[in-house]
Amino acid sequence: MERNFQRGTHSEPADPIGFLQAQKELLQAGLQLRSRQDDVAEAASIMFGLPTRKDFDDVTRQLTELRREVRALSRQMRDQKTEGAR
Amino acid sequence: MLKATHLIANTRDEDVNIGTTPKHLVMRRDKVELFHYEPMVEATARTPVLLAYGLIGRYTMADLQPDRSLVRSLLAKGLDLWLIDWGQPGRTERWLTIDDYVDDYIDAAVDRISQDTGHDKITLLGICEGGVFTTCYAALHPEKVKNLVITITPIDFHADVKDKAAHHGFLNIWTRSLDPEDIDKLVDTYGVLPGEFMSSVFR
Repeated sequence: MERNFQRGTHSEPADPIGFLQAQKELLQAGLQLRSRQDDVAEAASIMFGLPTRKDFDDVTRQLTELRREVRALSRQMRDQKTEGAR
Repeated sequence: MLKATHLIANTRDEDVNIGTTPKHLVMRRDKVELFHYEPMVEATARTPVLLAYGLIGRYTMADLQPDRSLVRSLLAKGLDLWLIDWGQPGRTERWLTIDDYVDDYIDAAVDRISQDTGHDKITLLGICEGGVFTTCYAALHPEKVKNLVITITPIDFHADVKDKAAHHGFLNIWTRSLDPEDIDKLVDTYGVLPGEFMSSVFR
């Protein structure tokens, strides 16, 4: 499988289905490992009273949503101004 | 071959001069920046051209070394050239959607160019995924787009279903080989698609 994967990354794979399956399994294994590492980091952060990645994601989500609202309001005000000037 | 190997082995980062065409920052919105290139010759076309590349790669792909630069070639033809640099999206950008890129960043850039140049409509030049964004923008805001030019842009994401040639739509085939949960997990875990991972798929 490893040889097939290597061949596949450099040219047309000899076995495209096998190559895709191998790459999918590699991705899933990598994600699982990273996910477990994140669990450990999350637990350590909580233990030491530090903000977790989940906290960070919550803040950035709220920031993104807030920006959208502010920009939608700015556009609304600009459009009203343009309409008023006509 | 030996000469090429020797050349590559002796080339350092500081010897690589890319993205050097003179430009200045006009607007910054989050990590996204709008640049205006300095003209190189007398203008031959009045309509400003906004170049947008994809989120994979950097704007420097359009401005390689001076004798291999799309940007310089366009400026040498007398075009008024502007560029959107998406910056380097990180975990903070995981909540952004295509709507944000098309209807906020591109829209704000187009409005700013119109305001600065006095043109109601501009020309959009989309490269790769930038072509997808600009096509969406042109469809949503035809009143602001005079011309749309796209290059190496995927439009039909199922073309490989009709034409199964092995070199057609590898990314489509690869993406569809994954389960929807794999994609969700990828976003949850990394926030963005890691560059190293994308490189391995492109090889």
